[in-house]
Amino acid sequence: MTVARAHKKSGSSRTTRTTPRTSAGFVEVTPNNTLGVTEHVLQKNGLRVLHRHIPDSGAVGLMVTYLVGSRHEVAGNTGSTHILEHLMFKGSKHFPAKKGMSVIDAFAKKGALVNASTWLDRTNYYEVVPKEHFAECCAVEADRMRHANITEKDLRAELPAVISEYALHKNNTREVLDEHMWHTAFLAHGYHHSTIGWLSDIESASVAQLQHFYDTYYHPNNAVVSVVGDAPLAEVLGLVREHFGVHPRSLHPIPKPHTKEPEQQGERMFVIERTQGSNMLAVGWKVPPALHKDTPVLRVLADVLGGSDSSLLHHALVEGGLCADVHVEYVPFHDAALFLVYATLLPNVAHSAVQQRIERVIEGLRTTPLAPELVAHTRAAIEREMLESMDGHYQFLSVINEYIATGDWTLYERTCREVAQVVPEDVQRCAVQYCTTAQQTIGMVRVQASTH
Amino acid sequence: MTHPTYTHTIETREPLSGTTLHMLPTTVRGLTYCSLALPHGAYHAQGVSAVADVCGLLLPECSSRGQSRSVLRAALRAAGAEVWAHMHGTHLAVHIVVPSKQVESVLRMVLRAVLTPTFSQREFREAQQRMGQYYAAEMEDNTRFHARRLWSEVWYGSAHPYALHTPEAYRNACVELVAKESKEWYTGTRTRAGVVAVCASDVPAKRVERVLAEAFETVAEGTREACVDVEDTRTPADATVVQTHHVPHKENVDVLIGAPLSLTRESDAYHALRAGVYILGGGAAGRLFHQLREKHNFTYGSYATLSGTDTPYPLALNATAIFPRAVYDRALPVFQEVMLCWAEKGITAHELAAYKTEALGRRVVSLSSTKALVDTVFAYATSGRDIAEIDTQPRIIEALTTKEVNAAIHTITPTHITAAAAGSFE
Repeated sequence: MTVARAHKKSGSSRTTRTTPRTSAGFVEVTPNNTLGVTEHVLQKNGLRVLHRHIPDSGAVGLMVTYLVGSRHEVAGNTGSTHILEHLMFKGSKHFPAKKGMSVIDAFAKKGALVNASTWLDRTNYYEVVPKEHFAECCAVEADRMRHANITEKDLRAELPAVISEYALHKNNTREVLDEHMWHTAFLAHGYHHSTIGWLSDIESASVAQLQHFYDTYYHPNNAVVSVVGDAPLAEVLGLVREHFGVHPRSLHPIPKPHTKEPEQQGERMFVIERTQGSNMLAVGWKVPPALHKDTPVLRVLADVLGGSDSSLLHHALVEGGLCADVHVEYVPFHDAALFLVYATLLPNVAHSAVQQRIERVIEGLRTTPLAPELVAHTRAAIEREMLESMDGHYQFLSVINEYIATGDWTLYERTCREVAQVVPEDVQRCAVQYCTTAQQTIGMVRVQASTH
Repeated sequence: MTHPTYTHTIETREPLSGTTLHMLPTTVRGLTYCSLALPHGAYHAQGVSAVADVCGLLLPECSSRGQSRSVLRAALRAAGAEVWAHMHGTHLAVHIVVPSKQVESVLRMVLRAVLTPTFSQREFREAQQRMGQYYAAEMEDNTRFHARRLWSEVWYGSAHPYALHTPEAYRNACVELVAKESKEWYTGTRTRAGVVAVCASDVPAKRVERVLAEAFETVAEGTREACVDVEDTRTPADATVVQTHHVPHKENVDVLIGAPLSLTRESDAYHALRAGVYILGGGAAGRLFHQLREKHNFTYGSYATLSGTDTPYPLALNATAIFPRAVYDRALPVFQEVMLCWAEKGITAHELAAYKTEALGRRVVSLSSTKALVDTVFAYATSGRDIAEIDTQPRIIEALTTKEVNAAIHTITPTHITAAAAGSFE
């Protein structure tokens, strides 16, 4: 029941088996991959099923990813995706909460890892359970896919918890800065507002609006079921067909947001005033959608700039005595998004000094190609990260879920492969193309009455 | 019901006297997790922890004899290794995640850095600034930290390991540090006795063992410094007064309600107490979550834990919740009432039965990854417990009785349950 922290293609197309195999209502569309993942589509309703078998682990993880996130909201109903996610824990037709059959009752009380999260492009619900409870997971998740109980009473009861979560985000100055970066960089597109939404929209949420949202987006043909763990494929497909197969495909096409962000026409800037804590500086540039060919290059650029203590910005800012901390945040999203640098300043250091130093580092990238070994280092880090994501049920589900949300889960593995093809000139080209003043947003946290 | 066992897959070796290597199989071919614990003397109070924190930040990627920091960093990056360190009780904990084919070379480089650091002035100053300025400022702005600090000040003097310093005191302590003295502290408190390594790898144990033996050969065996008794506890005149601290620009109030305990991790009643605390606030099935979230909708979440389980000192009960400022005045009495009711009346047989089901299921789920198993073995080994206990947990849980749990809860003095809150009060 969480909001992923505010705002987090390659050109080659995915290669699928040329002759799809069918098995009892499913068609297999597994792309070539080394992750050990198979993909099937339930022909009746278009539900996609990913499966990775981990024998003898004793546990099974199930995640349902709905391809709806806060970018599908507009002013007036911001935060709806997240509020709806909370209400999805209030029981469904065959698992009513008032009879002690809610998801929490069904699984958390059996020791399962149970939760859900909402972000810009997707909403997910998941359980990692001892394997004997896996069939029950399928039953509960399938039931709340189309039969959730969304009531006025539950909404009124749940809103204070949502507002508490809203306040939790506002308590963290770093998150407030991040949120303002997206507000400022995006004026029209749904990435403008944060996933938690505007407080006034949260407070005025209605059951009718949430029910409409649910009926619009919560359908098998707008969802992906991922199963990882100690359950063989035949068992998984059998249970998915039995429980999720009862739902028809949506009668309407799933709406796609049509609002395009107008071109930015120059640098944007804002200041947040605080009376304690640290001065901070954020710099953001617009970058293309996840499935754009430059994604692997931007991944390298992010790593080289701020991915480690040996990165260029760490060297220039932290070892250079200006900042206590610097990091780069680049997450490929479904639509064009932001490439972000965050720096925490040491006392008595001016924001302008840090900004100039960042500009100097970027200018260096524009004019001089990187040393090839820096690209090789990024490749080694990505390979290790991919191996790490294979360890643990939730770990794997959470990673693959973000790539599902970009529009193609195989992007995860492809990025790793394609990073190996990136050459220093690619990084130089992307620095020239994307890190421009015209596309830049600058955010500052200024501490006025600092005690230090 | 049968419960999975784990320790039969662990191979335990002793590369040198005083050092222990626990080797686990990995479920991910080609990936190695390695966690090392290097003992550093006795427990120290948080109030004087600046030197340990700065050393923790400086390591493991620092210059050492014949190996500069930049060379080390480049070599680790080229190997695809991720390495980080922090102070963990009386140990410097160093964690490495690395492709298995690189594990021996990376382990050698990291051990050389942490065993023979040179602490150059520049590297030291950087770590000192980051801890003293950045982390102190972070603390200053953190309501959870202030609630914990206020609560600890009620019960513990500044020399106690559970005492928390003010951000200003911490900043000053960092500023006053000198590289030479810090290095003396680091090298002077280190001993080979009690070194623990936990590795999950597809590389044979004997190869990891050989690297450890080579690295620690020159380190004096020494003896572990005995844990000193800490008498620096306080008895407040009125523990029922709610302590508050104002932090500007906050929309939530962080609340900590807790009590100092007489039991330690080694007490016979520990497992019963742990069950009682879990029933109070261990998760979504706990009383606090049920009352504060589901019944009254005051908060996003509320939890209770035992702190001090990795030390030999008496434990502390800590329960936390974060309330929007607008409901704080109504929520606090309910929170206090739930705590008091639990301490005075204990738990029911029904709750204990539910706890057993949940705890046994959670064990299967939480130990289903290699990393989780490494972390668990590491926690057991660094606190001096027998790792065989990992497999005996289910028996212990199943044997618990309501009477035992309530007896453990009743070791808590209800008048010692104290509340502290931090948020925007002005």
